Amino acid sequence: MRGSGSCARLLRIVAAGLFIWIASTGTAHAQLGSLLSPGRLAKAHANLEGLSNCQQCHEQGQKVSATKCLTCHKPVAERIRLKKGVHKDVQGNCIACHAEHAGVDGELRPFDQKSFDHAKVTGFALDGKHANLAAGCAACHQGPSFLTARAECASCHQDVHKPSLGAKCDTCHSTRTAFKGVGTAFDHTRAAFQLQGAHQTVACEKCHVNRTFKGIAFASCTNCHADRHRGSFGATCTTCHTNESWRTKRVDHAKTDFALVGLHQKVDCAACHKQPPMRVALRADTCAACHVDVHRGTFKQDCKACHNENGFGKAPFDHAQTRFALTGKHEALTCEKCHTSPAAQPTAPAAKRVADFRGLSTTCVSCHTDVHQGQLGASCETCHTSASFRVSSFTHKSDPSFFAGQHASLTCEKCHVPSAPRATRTDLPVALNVRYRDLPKACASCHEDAHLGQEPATCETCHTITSPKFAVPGFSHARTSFALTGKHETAACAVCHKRETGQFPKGPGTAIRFSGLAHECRSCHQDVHLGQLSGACETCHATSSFTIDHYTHKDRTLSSLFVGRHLKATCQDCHKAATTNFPAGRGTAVRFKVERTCVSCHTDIHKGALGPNCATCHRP
Amino acid sequence: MNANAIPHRPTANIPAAAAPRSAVVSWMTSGLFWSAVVSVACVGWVLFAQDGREYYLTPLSTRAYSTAHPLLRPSGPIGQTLGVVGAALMLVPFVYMLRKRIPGLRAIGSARGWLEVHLFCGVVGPVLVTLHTSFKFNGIISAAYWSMVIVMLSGFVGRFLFVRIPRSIRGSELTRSELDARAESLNGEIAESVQSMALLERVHAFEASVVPSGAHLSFLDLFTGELTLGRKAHRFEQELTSAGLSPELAHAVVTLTRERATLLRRIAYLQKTKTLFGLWHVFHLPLVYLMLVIVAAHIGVALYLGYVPFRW
Repeated sequence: MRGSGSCARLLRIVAAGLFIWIASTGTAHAQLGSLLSPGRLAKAHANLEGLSNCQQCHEQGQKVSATKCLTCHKPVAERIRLKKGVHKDVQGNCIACHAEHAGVDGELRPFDQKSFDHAKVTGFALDGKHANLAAGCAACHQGPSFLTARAECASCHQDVHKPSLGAKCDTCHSTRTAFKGVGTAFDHTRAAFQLQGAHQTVACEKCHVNRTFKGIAFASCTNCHADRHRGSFGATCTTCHTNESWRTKRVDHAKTDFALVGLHQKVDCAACHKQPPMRVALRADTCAACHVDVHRGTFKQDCKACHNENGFGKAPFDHAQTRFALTGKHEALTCEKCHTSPAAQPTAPAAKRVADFRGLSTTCVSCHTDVHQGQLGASCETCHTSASFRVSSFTHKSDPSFFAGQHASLTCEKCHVPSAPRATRTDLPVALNVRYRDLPKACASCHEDAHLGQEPATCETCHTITSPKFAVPGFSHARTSFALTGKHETAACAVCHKRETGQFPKGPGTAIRFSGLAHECRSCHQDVHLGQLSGACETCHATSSFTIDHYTHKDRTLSSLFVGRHLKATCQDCHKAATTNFPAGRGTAVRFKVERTCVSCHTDIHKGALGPNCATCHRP
Repeated sequence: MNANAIPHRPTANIPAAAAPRSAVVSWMTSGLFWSAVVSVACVGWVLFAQDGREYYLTPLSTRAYSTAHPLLRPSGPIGQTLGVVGAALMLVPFVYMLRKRIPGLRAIGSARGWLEVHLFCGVVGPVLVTLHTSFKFNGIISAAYWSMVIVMLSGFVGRFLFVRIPRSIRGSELTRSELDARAESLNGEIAESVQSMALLERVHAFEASVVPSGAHLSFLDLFTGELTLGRKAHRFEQELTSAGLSPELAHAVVTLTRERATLLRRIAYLQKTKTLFGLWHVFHLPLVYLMLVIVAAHIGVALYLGYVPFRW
């Protein structure tokens, strides 16, 4: 080929360039190693770089043998032999896990920190504060080997107690609690001095000054606490004090002259013992030694007479020992309802006002308003009791006969009505404006005259208080001008005395008509004879019945007629009903005016052939 | 070669009839086409079927602990096989060189056929070797790798120059008189199909605009001129169509014009191309020898330390 000469020349140039490149950079030997190496070694193996070092790891025809690795990594070889730790199951193929020639920063010990079971593989569990350390593995494993870290606390932590507490840190510390928080977590029951009461909340440093934990004296309280009594009560504080608080009272006050009863038991010592009790003895004989007399000396007797230790307001005061025993509604009242004297302390707040218990009158009107405005006098108890103002029973003692009968069951208000209509003064008690005295006893003062003045006589003539609903039980009509006889005796009053609307003596109105009724029969009865007869009904009729049993024609001229068979004829045989014009007008009635001729009753069978004088031949 | 060797094109009415078949045939016999197919298949298989994407993107410091490492590491079953096959493929191109230089080897096939094999192996080999490196380019072996890459890239340049030297179907270069005859024959075909003086003048004007005269030859135009010619021919065809020529006739005329213009351009640049191609041979070959020496050392060290195929 034409270019073969120049080709060989170029090849030579390239080979020379290559040689210069190799020779000019670093020592040829090390450079040759790096030229043949598939990549730089990791930092830990940096001393193994270079051509002469290949066989430190590589074996001819064997790639990388575990034997070569473990010649250097003796601790790992030992653990593989003992089947311990991370390498307990490996089969001698190191490069399966540890890859090299991946650069200076190549990872030689890859494992997932999250899934690595530190407790199972190493026997040292990473719990509590050891879990999730910010620095990861490097927090403890700071050297090139993971195997240098020991399980002892001191291998990582500094002993701030300067071995005074020994090597067993877990006596006080655990991985669950930070070193700072060990104070609250420490179980002091393991110590000789048990923390009780207020001791439990004391900060550790209060007793363990300068982190001294050993040899702290605690036999006596004064080992830590100062004696404010300056030794006057001896060294045994627990006689009076407890662990709970210095304020805890253990003093048996019953042993003093003043046993604490009721509310006194709850009072803080200092409330009474303003000065140390050991120095200033309190006078306990009177209440006033401690309490202010809000009554300002108005009571001469001792407070105990009214108050006890259960509270000033709660004293069971026996009001019966005063002149005014409390009964009925008075029992439930609070004291201030009656014992008020706001004028004494007008500016004091309501709770601090002190009632004046003196000088209160026992009369009712000293507390209650007399709604009767004095008309019944001052003796309220005549009618009222302390149980209620409502008057449940009252007997009118004067004139018992008036308050008998129907009057006896009446309520007071039936007669004692307000003088003014209540609607106008609803704010006033009912009893106000009511007259209770000198009420007139005349019937008309309470009752209305239903008869509108028809009966001028007094009501008692007919009515009594014994009969209900104004019934008139024993009225005798004979006392009137119209004595009742016959059928009139059994007729109901209303048959004659009808309710009507019209003019009455007291004026127009509606009432039953009693007076002014006519005595004539027709004022009540109807004339069925339509005026044929005179108005003297009693000529024929009696009050016993309208039926006429026997009638004798009085007309003398008829004596010749009533003979023979005519004597046996009935009234109706001659007096027949007819419809015609009667004196009182046209209508149907029995005719009483009858012709005396025979044919007016009898039929002429001769048809007038023998003339009108029947007597010629016939006799009645 | 004479004009009889060119398939006769009787009229412009059926100009594209033979084109699709010859295109398919040229694809099927193209080493570059198959090298692309095989390369894409291999790269795709490694990247997607063997988790290569995740493996190659993992930083070197921790890549050794990736799940694909046992298979894809350079000394692993896939990685080492890729390296061995890639290296073997890189030896095949030498057969083409030997076939060209030793007349006694004519029996193994045509130089043109071996050139396609040469192209195929010259592309697929570097691709497989690239996967074998796992993109770790350390030490002197990287010099071999980059040499290989440069040789491959220069191969593309050589191929570019090679096709610009007109040859007979057997691969022998055409003489100047043969080329002129071919150009004249195309000119006759154009004149025959155009049948209009006005149109023929437009065709000649177009030809003059794309074929450089002797005074305007440049290396830049040598490398880009044919692409520009393609674009200009396309525009010229549109111009003819819009001027009222039937699309079929316009296409036939432009196809012939383009063929002739390309030929004229190559004739014009023939001496320059041949000079460059000669220089290119000097560049393409020596790096191959450098690569062979280093790879031999690389294989030697690997075998010496026990990194032997099938002992994974």
